[in-house]
Amino acid sequence: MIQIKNLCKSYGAQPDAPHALDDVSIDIADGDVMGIIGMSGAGKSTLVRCINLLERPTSGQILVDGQDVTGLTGAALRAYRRRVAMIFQNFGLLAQKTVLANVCFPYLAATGRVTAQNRERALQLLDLVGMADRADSYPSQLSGGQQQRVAIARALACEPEYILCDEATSALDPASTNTVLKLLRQINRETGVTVIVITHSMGVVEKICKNVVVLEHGRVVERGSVADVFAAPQSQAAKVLLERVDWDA
Amino acid sequence: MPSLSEFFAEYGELLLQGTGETLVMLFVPTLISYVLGIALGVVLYLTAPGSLRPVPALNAVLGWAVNICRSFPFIVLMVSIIPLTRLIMGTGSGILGTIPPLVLSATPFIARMVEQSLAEVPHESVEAVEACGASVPRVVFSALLPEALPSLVRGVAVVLIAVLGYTAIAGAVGAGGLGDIAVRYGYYRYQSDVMIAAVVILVVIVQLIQSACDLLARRVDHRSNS
Repeated sequence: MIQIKNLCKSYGAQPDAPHALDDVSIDIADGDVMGIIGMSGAGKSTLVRCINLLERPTSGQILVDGQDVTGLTGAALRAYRRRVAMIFQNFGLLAQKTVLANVCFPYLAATGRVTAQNRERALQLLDLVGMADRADSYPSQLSGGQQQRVAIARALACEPEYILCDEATSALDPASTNTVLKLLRQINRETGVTVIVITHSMGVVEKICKNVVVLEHGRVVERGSVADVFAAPQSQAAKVLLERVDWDA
Repeated sequence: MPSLSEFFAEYGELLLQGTGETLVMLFVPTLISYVLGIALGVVLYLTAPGSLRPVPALNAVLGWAVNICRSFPFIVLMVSIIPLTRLIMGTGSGILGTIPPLVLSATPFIARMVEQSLAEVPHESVEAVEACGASVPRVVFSALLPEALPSLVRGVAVVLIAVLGYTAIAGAVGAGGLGDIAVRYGYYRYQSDVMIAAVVILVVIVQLIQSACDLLARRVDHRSNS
């Protein structure tokens, strides 16, 4: 499980520098689908980027199965990053590589080469996301939803224990959003991978998340099961995100 | 008015030799410069603030060095480093004498072009590759450079055409080549026809470089469906 303890992130060295994250503590159980929701600028992307250390937290701990990962560097950091694969809003595929080569990239990153077995596994993963017939296409020949499915296959090629989704459906139309969300739910159910979903859409949270944390100005303002938070939102941020306030007030 | 065949009978060999010299001065130093320039460009990219391996002090020093080299007009650079050229090549003139100044001039130019091409690779693609657990050398060689390839190829055309201009200047101080022919015959002897022939050959070389690089860039670019 991932235990985030008193995590702070500020930009700039001054003690009064603005906090993107301010004393955030969250526990994420194995097998959970955890939603982290908030408005733009609430710090949710910073939080998820701290989890895989694309950004270094200023203070606090991130314990993964009891081990603090915030100090990891070099080979240990790279091995850890494969345990927490990430998918991005704009997919982050390599435009000059085929779909198959993109999915094989984690193997290349891990071992410096891609074996026939790796390629076979990558094709299985592409089959899982319904993109096996496009293995030789280039990302520009695919729609956004298809590109995100390829990105999911690439994330799975890391054989991760956690998948971080940073606004993974924000650039997609509703139909593609549903396809991608169903895929993430299916992967969670079948493999037990923990999924952490960053979004500003309550619709996404409602569809696939079990638990949810609401962030506002870098602080956790509400947390609980999706059913509870949707039934009776306590914080103003949750009410606004659920559109339970008079928009014209 | 002499006919075209008479003109070529008299000057054909001269122009052919000049073209050969120009091509040697163009490609040999550019090739050396690309080896150095890609390395320098990658280091400039990686050490920039906010990049993969930020080392602001090194980045600033390299940046200044590049800017200083690029501040020299080529003819000034060439004459000012003649002692160094003699030390390296054993001669300060001729085609050999042009290689050090051309390399010194082209390398920082190429480094900036490479840095710019790498910076155009979408940030998210680079982060996604990092998130797969790739080391920095892996990111550079398996993601950044291949992703930047079409842009790098287009950069080759810009660099070659700029270096072609430098070779003409080098020619003017005794290195031979088409620039030398144009100045000697056209300027000192008022033989405009020889100068025009030299210019036409230069124009053709530029067109060929640009067309070849454009074609190659399109061939290696998989970002559009065409």
